[in-house]
Amino acid sequence: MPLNSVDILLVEDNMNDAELTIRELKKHNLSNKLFHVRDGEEALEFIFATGKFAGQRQVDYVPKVVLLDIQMPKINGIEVLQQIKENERTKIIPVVMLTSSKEDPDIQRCYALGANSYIVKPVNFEGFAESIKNLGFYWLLLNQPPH
Amino acid sequence: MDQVGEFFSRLFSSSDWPPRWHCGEWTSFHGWLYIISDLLIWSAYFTIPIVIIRYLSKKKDIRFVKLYFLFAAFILACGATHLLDAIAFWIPAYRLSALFRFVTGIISWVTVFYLIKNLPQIFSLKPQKALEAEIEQRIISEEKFRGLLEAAPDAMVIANEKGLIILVNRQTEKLFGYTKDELISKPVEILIPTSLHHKHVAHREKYTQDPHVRSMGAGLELEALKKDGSKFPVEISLSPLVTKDGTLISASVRDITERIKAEKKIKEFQYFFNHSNDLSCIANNEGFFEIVNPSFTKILGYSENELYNHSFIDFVHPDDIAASLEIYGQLKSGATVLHFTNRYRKKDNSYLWLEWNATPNPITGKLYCIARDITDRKKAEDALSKLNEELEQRVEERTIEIEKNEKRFRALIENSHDIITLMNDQFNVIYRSPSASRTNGWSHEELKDVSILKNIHPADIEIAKEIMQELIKNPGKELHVSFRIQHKDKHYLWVEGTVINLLHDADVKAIVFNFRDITQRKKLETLLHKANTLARMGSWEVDLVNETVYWSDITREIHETEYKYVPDLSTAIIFYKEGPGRDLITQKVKEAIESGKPWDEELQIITAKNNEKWIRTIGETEFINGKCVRIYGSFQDIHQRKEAEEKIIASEKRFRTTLDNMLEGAQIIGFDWRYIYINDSFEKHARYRRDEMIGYTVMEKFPGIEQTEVYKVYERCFAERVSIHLENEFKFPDGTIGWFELSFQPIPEGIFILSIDITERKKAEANIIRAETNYREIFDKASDAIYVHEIDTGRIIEVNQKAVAITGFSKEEILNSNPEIFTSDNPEYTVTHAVTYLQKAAAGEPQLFDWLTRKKDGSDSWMEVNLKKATIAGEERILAFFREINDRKKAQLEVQKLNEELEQKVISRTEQLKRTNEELEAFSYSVSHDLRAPLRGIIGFTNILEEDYSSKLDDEAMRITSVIKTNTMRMANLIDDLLAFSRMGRQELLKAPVDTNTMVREIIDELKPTNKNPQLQWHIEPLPEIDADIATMRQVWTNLISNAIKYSSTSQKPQITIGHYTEKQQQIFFVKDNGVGFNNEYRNKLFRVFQRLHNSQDFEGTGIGLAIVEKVITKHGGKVWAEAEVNKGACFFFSLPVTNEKNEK
Repeated sequence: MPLNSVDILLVEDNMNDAELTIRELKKHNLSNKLFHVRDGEEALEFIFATGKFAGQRQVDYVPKVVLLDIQMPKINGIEVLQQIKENERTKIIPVVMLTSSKEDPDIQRCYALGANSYIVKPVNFEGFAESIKNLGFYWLLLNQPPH
Repeated sequence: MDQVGEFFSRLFSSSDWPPRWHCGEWTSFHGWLYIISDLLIWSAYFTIPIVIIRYLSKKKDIRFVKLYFLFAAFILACGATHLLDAIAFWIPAYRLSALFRFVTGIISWVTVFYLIKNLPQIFSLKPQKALEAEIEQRIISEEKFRGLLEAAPDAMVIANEKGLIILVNRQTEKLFGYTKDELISKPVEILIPTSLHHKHVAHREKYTQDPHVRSMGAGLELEALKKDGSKFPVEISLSPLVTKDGTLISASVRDITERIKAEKKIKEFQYFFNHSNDLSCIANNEGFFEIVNPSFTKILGYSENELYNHSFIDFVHPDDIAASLEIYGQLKSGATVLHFTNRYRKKDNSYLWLEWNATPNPITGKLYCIARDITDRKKAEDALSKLNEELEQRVEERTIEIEKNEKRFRALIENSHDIITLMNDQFNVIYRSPSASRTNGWSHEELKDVSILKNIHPADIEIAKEIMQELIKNPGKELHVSFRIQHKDKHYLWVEGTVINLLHDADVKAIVFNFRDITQRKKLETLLHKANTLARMGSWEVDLVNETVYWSDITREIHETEYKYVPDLSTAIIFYKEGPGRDLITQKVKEAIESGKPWDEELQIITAKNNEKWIRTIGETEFINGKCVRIYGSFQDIHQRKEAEEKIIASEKRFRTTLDNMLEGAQIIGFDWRYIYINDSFEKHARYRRDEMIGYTVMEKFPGIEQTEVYKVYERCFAERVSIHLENEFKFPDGTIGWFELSFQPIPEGIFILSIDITERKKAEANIIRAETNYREIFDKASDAIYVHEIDTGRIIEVNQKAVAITGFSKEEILNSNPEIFTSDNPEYTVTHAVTYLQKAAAGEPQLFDWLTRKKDGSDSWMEVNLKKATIAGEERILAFFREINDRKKAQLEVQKLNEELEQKVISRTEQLKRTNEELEAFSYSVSHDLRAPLRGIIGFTNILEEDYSSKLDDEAMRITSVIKTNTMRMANLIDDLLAFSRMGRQELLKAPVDTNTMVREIIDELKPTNKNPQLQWHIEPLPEIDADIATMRQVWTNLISNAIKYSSTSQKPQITIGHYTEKQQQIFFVKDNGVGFNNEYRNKLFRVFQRLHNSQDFEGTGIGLAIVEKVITKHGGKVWAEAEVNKGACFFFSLPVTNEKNEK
C-alpha cells in the first residue's frame, strides 16, 4: 500500500484492541487504506514523514482520520495530538481520541487541543463494534474534508 | 650543483649568437656611434646614483629616502642595459642582457608605482623661502611659548612620551628647589614621592596612549616631592603638545597646601555648623534666611525651604516684633555683636524663647546669627519671677496689715489726750503726737530734731538731765516725771507723765515720753476752791415754827424765779418735776421732819421759766425738844454735770450693747487676770456662762493655760502694751480642740481680746489636707502605674509610687521627662508610636493598647496601657495607666505560636491529604484503564470465536463462550461501580438548588429501557426543591429507582411510589416498591459495599449502588434506611437536613 494514500492512521499500542478495531473495520470494508502504528513516536514519524518514514511519503498527503489512543508508552496520545494540531500542514487532519476509561481526566484537555472526537472504548463487544463501525463510516464516507 | 653551474654557463654563453658586429651591415661609424652613445648613457646613469647616495649619506632629515634608492637602482639598471648593449658588439651574451632588461623593467615599474603613490606629497614640499619663514615663525612662537611658560603662575613641567623632563619653568625651580639643569632629562618621577612612583608610571603610560587635556581640579589631588625631601599637596593639569618629535606632555603643577588648609577649616566650620546644638543661620541684608543649620530646622520644625522663603521676622512672636525690628535696625546701621532674646514660632505654632547673638558682616551686610533655645530657662525665670511676685504680694499684704495695725496704734495715740513724744538717743524729738502741738503750740516741724531740753523750764533742766542719764542706763525702766515746759507763746506748762527707754526695741527704737498737761488741773484746783466758796450752790431754810421759807439768791437763780420771789413750803416742792422725783423729795422731807433723817438727792426741777434742770439737794434737820423746828440745806445746779453723765451712760450702754451683740467674742481682762467683761459670743467660745467667768481669773477657768503659747501672748500684751494678732489652737478642759483667731489689744483696764471661732474653717482645711493625703495614698497604692501627662507636650507632671516600683526610675527622673525614657529598641514601640497614642488620647479618644516598656535596668516589660483625657483641677491632662502584663503577654505569644504551629500542621495535613487524593485519583484512573483493556480483549476474542468458528463449536461450547462474556461484563461493571464509589468519597460537594421533580422524571425516562415489565405503575408525589450536589444526588435517585424497577420486575402488578415528608427538621424522601423485598433483619447490611441480599442470577448487580447512596447522603448530612418484607416490597428512605438559608436570605 503506498503510504501516501493512507486513509486511516490507527495509533494503538494494545495489539488486541488494534486487532479488534481493524477486524471490525474490515467487516465493513473500511480497512483497505488503514495503517497501524504502535506508539506516539511512530505516529509522529509517519505524519511528519521523518525517521523511518523519511522519504517514504509526503507530509501533504494527509490521512482522512487518525484514531489515536491516549494511553501509550514513550509519547502519549495527547502529545501527538498537540503536535498535529500545532502544525499548519497537519492541523486539518481529523483526530479521534480513543480511551479505555470514562474516568479520563484529559477529555477536556483533548477538546481544547482540537481533538475532533473522543470515544470511550466499551468493554462489551457489541458496543465496541458499533463504535468502530460508526467511526469508520463517519470519517471516511460521510465527512467532507476541507480540501 | 652541476645544474646551477650549467645555468650560469648558459647564461653567460655567447656561442649561440654572432657578435653584433656580424649582424646586419654595421658600418664602423654606425657601430661605434652606437657603442659610444651606450657607454655615455651608462656612465651618466652610473654617476647619478653615486651622487644621490653620497647626498643621502650626508643629509639625514631627508624624506622619501626609499624613492631615492629606487630611483638610483632604476638608473643603475638602465645604465647596465646600455653597457650590455655596447658589449654585445663583441660578446653576444643576449641571455644576460635579457635578464638585465627584465630586472630593469621590474625596478622601473616599482619606481613608477612608488612615484604615483607619493607624488602628491612630493609636490607639496615647500620651497626653501617658505621653510625659512616658517622656521622664523617657529623661533618666535617658541620664544613666546617660553615666555608664556615662565609667566605661568604654576610650575610647568614638560616631559616627553618617555616621561623625561625636557623643559621646566622658573616656578618649577622655585617650587621644587631644583635647578633647571638638575631636572632636564630626568624622569618626572623625581618630583613625586617614591611611594607613588609605581602608580605614577602606570598612570603616565596610560595617559600617553590617550593624551587629552585634563584641566585643574579635574584630576586627583597628588603629592609632590621637593628636593629637600618634603612633600606637599598639589593639583596638576595636563595637556598634550603634539610636536614633530612626538607627543609632549605639559603639566602645570599648583601647590595647594594653603587651599587644603582652608578647605579643612571650612569643613571644620561646616561640621561645627551642622552639628551645633545652637541654631545658626546666615540672613541676607533683607532679613531673609540664606543658610540655616540642621538644628535650626530640627528645633523649629520647619523644612529648610520653608525657612528660605521667609524673613526672620515672620517667625517672631507678635509681641516681640517691635523689639526685634529695632535690634535689626541697629545691626543694619552697623552695630557689632548684639545679644537679645525673643520668641520664635515653631512649625507646631508653639513658641520657643531664643537667645540670639547676631553679628553683621560689614562688607556684605549679611547677618551671622546664633541662637540658643532658652525656653526652659525662661520658664524657670518666669516661675521665679512669679514666685517673687507672690512673695512681694505677701510682703505687701503683711505691710498693709502692719500698716493697719500701725494706723490703729497711731489713731489711738493721736486721738489720745496724752502727749506722746518719741526721742532718739540724743533726746532729739523724732515724733510728737498731735496732742503735743495742741498743748504747747509748737508745730511738729518746729520741734522735729530739736532737743527736748530746749523747752524745759530752766529750773527743771538739772532734774531732766539726771533723768536722761538714768534712762540711758536703764533701758526699759519706766520713770515718773513732772516738770515745766515752755509754750510757744512763752508761758510755761506743767506736765506729768512717764518716760521709758525703748531704744533697744526693734519695733520702737525710741525713748518714749508719755505725758499730760496738768496746768489745767492745777488751775482747776484753785478754781474749785473758789467755786466751793462762791458756789453755784444756793442755800435754803424752812422755819417750821414760823412756817417761813428762805432761799438764797443763788437758789432763786437756780429756780429762775423773780429776784424777790419768796416761796412757801408747798410751792417749793412744786418746782420738783412731777413724778418719782417729786414723790421722793416729798417722802424725804416728811421723813426728815419726822425722824431727822437727812437727805442728799439729785433730782430734776422745772424752773420758773419752765426749764428742766438737774439739781442736787441736801437737807438736814434741827430738833428742839424732840420736835423738828427747822430744816435747811443747800441747793446746787448740777444740770451740766448731770447731762454729761447721762450722755456718758447712754454711750456706755450703746457700746456695751454693741459689744454684747458682736459675733466676735469680746473679753476684757484686768491686770489681775480676772475677767471683767465678756460678751455673748465669748460665752460660746469659752463654753462658760458669763456669771461663771466674771471675777474669775483666766487660770482658774482654763487650768494649764500657763503652759501654752497663748499664755505668753497674754503676758506680753499686759507687759508691753502692744496689740497682737494670732491664730491659736485651744484645748478646752474637756479635751476638745477649738481654733480661734485672737486679737489682743491693751486697754487701760488691762487687755481687750477679740476672738473669732475658726474651728470650722480649720476643720475644713484639715479635711482638705486629709483628703489630699488620702488621694495621694490611693494614687500611690494603686495597682497600676499612673502617669499624668501634660496634654500639649506629653511631659509627665505626676507619677505614682507604683510607676517608680515598676520602672526602677526614681520619681525625680520620671517627672518632667517624656515617654522617651521608657522606650525600648523594638521598632514597633517607638517614641513616635507613643506620641501618636498620646495625640489620639489628647483628641479625646481613649486608647487601650499593649506596649513594650524599657525599665531603668535595661530590661523590657510588657504593659497594658490605658490612656484617657481628663480634666484635673481645671487643667486638661492625659492619664496613663500602665499594668504589667508580662505573664499574659507570654501566654498570648505562646497561644499565637501554638496557633501558628497548628495552622502549619493543618496546612501540611491538607497538603498530605491532597497528595493522597491525587495519588488515589491517578490510581483509580489507571485501574479503570488497565483493568478494562484485558476485559475488552476477552469479550472481543470470545466474540470472534462465536462468529468465525460457530460451525465448529457445539451448543455447550457456545454456552461457555456466553458465560465467559457475561462474567467479563460483570467484572467491567464492578470496576465501574467501585470507581464511582471511591470517587464519591473524595469528591467535594457543590451545593446548589436542585429541582427534585424534574430530576426524578428525567431519571425514570432514562431507566425506561431497563424496565421489562409493561405493567409497572408509577406514583410520584410532588417533591420539594433541595439544596444539594446535583451530580451525586442524581446518582442517589438513579440507584434507588433502578433498584425499585429491578426488584419489582418479577411482581404481577409492579408499583413504585416516590414520595416525601418532613420530620424533625429533616426532609425525608422515599422510594417504595412492591417487589421481592427482603428480610428486615438484614437491612443494616444493605448499605455495605458488596453486600447483596439477592443472588446475581436472580437480580443483576454489583452490590455497590446502595453503598454509594449511603455515602452521598451521609456527606449531605442526612441518613439512609430501609424497611421491607419478603415478597411484599421494600421502601428506601433518605433524609436531608432542612436548610433555612432561603428563609434567612
